[in-house]
Amino acid sequence: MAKRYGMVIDLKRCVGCQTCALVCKLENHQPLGLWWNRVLTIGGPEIDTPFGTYPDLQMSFLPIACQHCEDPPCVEVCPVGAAYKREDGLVLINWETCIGCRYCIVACPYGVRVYNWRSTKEQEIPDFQVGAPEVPARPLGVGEKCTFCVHRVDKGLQPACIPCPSRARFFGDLNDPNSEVSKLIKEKGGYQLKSELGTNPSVFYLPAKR
Amino acid sequence: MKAATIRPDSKNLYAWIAVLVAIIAGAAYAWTVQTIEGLGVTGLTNVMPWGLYVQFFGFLLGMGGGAIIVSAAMDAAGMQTFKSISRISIVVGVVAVALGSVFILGDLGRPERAIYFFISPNWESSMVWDMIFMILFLVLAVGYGWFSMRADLARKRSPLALGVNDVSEKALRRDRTMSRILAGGTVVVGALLANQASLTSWTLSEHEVLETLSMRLLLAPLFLLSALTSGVAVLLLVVAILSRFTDIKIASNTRESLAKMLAVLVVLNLAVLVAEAAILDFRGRVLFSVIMEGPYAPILWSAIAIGAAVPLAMLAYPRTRRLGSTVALASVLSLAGVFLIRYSLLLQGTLYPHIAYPLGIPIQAIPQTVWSTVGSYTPTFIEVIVSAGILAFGALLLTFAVKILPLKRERSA
Amino acid sequence: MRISRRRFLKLAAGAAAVSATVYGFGSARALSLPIPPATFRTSQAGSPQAVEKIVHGACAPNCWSGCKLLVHVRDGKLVKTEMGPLQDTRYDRICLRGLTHVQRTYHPDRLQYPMKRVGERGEGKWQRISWDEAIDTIAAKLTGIKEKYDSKAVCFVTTSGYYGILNGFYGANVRFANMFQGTYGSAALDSAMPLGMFQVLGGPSHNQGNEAADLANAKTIIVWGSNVTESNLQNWHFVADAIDNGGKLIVINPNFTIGASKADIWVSVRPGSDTALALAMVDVIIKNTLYDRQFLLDHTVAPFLVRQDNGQFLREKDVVQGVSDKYMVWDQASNKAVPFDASGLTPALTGTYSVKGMQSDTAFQLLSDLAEQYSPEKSKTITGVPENVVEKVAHEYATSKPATIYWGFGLDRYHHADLTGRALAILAALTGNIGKPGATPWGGFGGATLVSSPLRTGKWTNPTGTSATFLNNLLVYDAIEKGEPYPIKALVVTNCNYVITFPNQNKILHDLFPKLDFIVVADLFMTDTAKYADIVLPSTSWFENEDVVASMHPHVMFQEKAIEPLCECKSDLEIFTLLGNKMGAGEQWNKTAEEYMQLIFDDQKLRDAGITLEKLKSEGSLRVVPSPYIPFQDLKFKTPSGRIEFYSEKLNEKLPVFHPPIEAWPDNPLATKYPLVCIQAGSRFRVHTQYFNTPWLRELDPRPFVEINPSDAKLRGVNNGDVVEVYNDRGNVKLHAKLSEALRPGMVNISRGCTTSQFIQGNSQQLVADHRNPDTLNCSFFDTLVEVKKA
Repeated sequence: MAKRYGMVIDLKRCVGCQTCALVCKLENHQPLGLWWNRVLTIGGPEIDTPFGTYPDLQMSFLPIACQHCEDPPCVEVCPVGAAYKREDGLVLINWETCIGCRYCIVACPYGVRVYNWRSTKEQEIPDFQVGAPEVPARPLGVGEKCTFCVHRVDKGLQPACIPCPSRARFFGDLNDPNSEVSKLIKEKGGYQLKSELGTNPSVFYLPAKR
Repeated sequence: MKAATIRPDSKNLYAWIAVLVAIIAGAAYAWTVQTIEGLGVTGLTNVMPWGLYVQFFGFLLGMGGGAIIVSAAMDAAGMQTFKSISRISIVVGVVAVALGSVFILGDLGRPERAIYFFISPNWESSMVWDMIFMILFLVLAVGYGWFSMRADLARKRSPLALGVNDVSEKALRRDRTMSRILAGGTVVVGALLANQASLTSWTLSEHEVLETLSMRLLLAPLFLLSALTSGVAVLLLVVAILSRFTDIKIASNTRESLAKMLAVLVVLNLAVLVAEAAILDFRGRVLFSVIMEGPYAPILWSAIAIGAAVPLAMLAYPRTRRLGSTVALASVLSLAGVFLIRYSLLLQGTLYPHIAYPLGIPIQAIPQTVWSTVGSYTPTFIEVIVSAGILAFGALLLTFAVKILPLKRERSA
Repeated sequence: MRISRRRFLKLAAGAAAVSATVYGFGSARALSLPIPPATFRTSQAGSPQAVEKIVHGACAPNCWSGCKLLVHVRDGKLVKTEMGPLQDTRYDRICLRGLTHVQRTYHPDRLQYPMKRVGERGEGKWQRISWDEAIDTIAAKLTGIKEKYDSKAVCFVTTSGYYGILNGFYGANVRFANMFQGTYGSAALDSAMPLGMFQVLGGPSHNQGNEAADLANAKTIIVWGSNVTESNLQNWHFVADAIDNGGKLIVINPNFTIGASKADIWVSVRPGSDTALALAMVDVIIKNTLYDRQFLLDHTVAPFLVRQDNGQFLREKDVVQGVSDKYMVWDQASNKAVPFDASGLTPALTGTYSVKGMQSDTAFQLLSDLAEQYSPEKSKTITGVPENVVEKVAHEYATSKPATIYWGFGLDRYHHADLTGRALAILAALTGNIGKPGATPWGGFGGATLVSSPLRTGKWTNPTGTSATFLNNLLVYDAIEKGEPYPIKALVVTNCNYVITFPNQNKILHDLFPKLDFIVVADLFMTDTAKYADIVLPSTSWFENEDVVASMHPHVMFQEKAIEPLCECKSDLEIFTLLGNKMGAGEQWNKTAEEYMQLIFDDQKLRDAGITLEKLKSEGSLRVVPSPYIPFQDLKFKTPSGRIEFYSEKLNEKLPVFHPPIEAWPDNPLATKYPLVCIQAGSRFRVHTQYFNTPWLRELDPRPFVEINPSDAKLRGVNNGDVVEVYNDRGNVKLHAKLSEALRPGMVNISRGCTTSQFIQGNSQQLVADHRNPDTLNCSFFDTLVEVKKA
């Protein structure tokens, strides 16, 4: 059976430390102001604040990046076919074809696609490219998003965000019932975000409270 | 037939063109800045990736379609009611729709790659269908216009007659037939275009809502109605301007019919809006109250006030309806109203996070950060100037068209 | 006037031409910009052909995590740091800060060359000088001060900016200080809780807890006074493992930390009242007989009789003259006091007995009586914790074993923190939660300094046998200000941001610094301390020199020299080598880093343990401490009695009573003026002031803030994001307010480590006092009262 790459993120273990956001930022040398992976606070109105009133409080975190949907709305709406889905489940962008119309950003129900809005050359520190050399530098005015580190996956490695201080992130073949991700989803009740939309994401979350 | 003459004073014309050129020059510079620095110089963000440019795109395509539909429909049916303005409406329609596409081009992050629309179009994409309908519409409308004006062009020995100079009865009849067929096609495609373009440009705010079939059924009439309203309004406006500054005279009863039509359309537009709001209310109060009472509600309410109530008042009374200046003002207000209603509904999109959890957003004086999943949108100076420039370009094209095309009918041909 | 068509056409054509030209020009210019192919930026470092080498490295600042890194270098430039494998892969780790070294290393604000001050201290006027001039000046100054006062008048200050053996806080600087016989400012930080632990359990100091990986074995973990996910992020996954294995997490912290959000029970205790809470738990455990009786009898001083008249243990020689010093217990079988090591005993655990006319209680009885005074009902007014919660937590800890107390230095920051340390050790002793897998009174850090001690032997740190004078950093204040116990006239600051780390900033800047003849600072950036230096020296970053690194997990790591030093930067070793040679100690400073490392590893004990420099270099890391590290498994305690001494006859407080914090307590009259307790919690976006200017981290954490509960904020008319002033008698700071329900009402938190330039005005370290507890001489940063007002 064909591979279907997927990710599992354990929200019970996740402490919102932002390491996965940073490792992605470094690996894919993203410019200032642009983040492919973000960790949102499920709590109060500010980062790291809970909801409720002292002392009845609750807080958890949601790391969110491209969900690599099986039925991606972004692929459907891209007018020039720059957004495409591979056989093994990865949803990718062809940065040579993207015209920067941002329809995919509008269409994504998770809000995980971002856009290269500004030239930040002057402000970048350091002033040379860092991170992985296999990841292309994106020109101004194109859409970007998590690629499941396709440059690493194709070499048999895992995405850069998997080594997490909380050991809360897992990657593997969802079509293999014996893979770690499949077992985690089954045993710990993995769920998808906005599953009612029918996008069938490849990223599953394990509940924060269980 | 003489070409229309511009009067009363060439100084007006020079001034007019000078102003337009100045605006266009400013827009060109602004657009250059936008291309070099990136679209970040506009007010657009990941929370609101489509703003003023796409709004104008949708609005203009609707307006252009709407402008042609009314007179072309009559024309196709063989009715004489709006014959005098049919050529004007064609020109306005073509220019408006073409202008809409320029807005999209100006909105792209990599405009030099627009050619990929043709190299590798994705047929599932709504935007590709925008383009297809638009091209089809332009072809049909230009064809319709050419067949309507060919005889007059030939008489003037204009190169725009494309060498077909036969002005015999037979030729005229053929022209007439082709005109009517193409008029019909233009109406159909124009309606589809208005619907389609609005659908695309509205996806941002409505995608949560589009799921219900009832909403989808209601959206088509809303788009069509807003297209017709803006189309008729712009026609009225152009007619008023032409009457004042050229010797193109449109019969006052024609103008009055148009004005009455505008009044009716404004009412219908409002009715459909209320119906949509009612359905939203039925579906979920939150959405409704946000639209009606949220931070962008003032825009919506002023749109209704100045864009509907005032024009309606002006057009409802025969006395005011007959005054050229009032009608012109009412048209401008109606256009603004349609635009603002769409705009305010677009802005609602910024209020709904995609991921519906309470969110963590760090303290920032700047309202939008890398974290923001909700935010606000205000167009920047660059966006306004570029938009103004493109609109000025359209105005320039219209001025040009008035001069070289036989828009004035000496006799009904 | 009519305009002819031709004229019009010309006009129109002209207008069109102009428009087209402008538009076309603009567009052409835009389009002619080089559009990079969607491959690589033009810089060579990004070119795929550029050779990439990957070297061993370590990120080791004061987060205590010591992450092994794989350091990627392309074209001589650092391009990536990623998590590297440790020999014991359970400890593999990386965090958001360690990923930003590319930004920290190449930050444009890095100091590039030595500078000397021209103008007043703190004015910010500098003149570039050569290294020769810098070293000459420093040598002359230090020699001059030595001759005028004493070599002790030069104080070498450091805190834990780096854990390298050569260039870290206890490396070349100590070697130099020992040789020069200066003063070495020591301790005063994070030392009261460990002292308390030590007083009860004996050594090895700072190693009384099981290693971090052992946390996963616990059935109950109490995270007490630790913001573990912010300050010890790398220990969290072990705790999460324990939870996944069915364990329970209890978090005792005044505020709802991220750790608290993961807890089964969160206890919001009044800040500074933890000793009382611990004693309340002791009371519950004793009253419900949940203690491990046999453990108490066999391994603690519980049965030892204590004389009521002098509070000392009853000795055999008190009972029978001329005999031994042995401790006495009451044998219930024979109904008399006998030496504790007699055979066939049934020692009494509780009770008061009369021995030769001397009333004596068992130590356990004394503990019991003390705990009764802090029963849950009685201590509720002190701690604010309801009785049922205390009972529940105590029950869990005592019965759901093995249980670990994971305490953090949040507890250390109050005036009487040593007593808290003792109380927590007592809880472990009471329940036998010590010396077993999953059970320890100091979870998360065990074994750490056992790594560095063998490497910091005298042959590296003290070649001449002379020694620096180790003076407590709080006493250094007095030495500078008043010349007591002796004058200190110069500061040599390395691996330290003195002005931000130590308390009472206004005192430092206005009372201490003006008394100093000379201040030299070596750092990467113009920190708040470097601003006040007379000579500033540019330091290398960790990747610009090689070193051996020992942080807080059981490994030693190797840092290869990944890139050449930037500009004129020099490592601490290089600086002290230059200085040493200039000052006539060339013989002690004649080796390269490589040679020193070989010297350090030339040790039979290390070789016997299989630790050689060659092996370390090829593996990158070696686990030095045998696994698992679980101290006290042999139940031998290096205390005077050889047992766990929850009763210490030599200390002022024989048992840990509760004393309120010296300032941060509602009864304090100051509290009417300054009602809010101000803590300065750690933040995962910085390590104290390191990483303060890293752009990626500042994107996530852009500016300093004071966290305040919305109810407190409302009283003061403060809304989220407002600029407020936080002040007390010592100083003030202006910054933004962040309203959070997580904050306990009556407390505010200003995340520590922000530099003065980041605040709107002032600095949070102005608020903190240099309280002196003569028993601990430890900085008590959280023992601070402030008020907040809208600015």
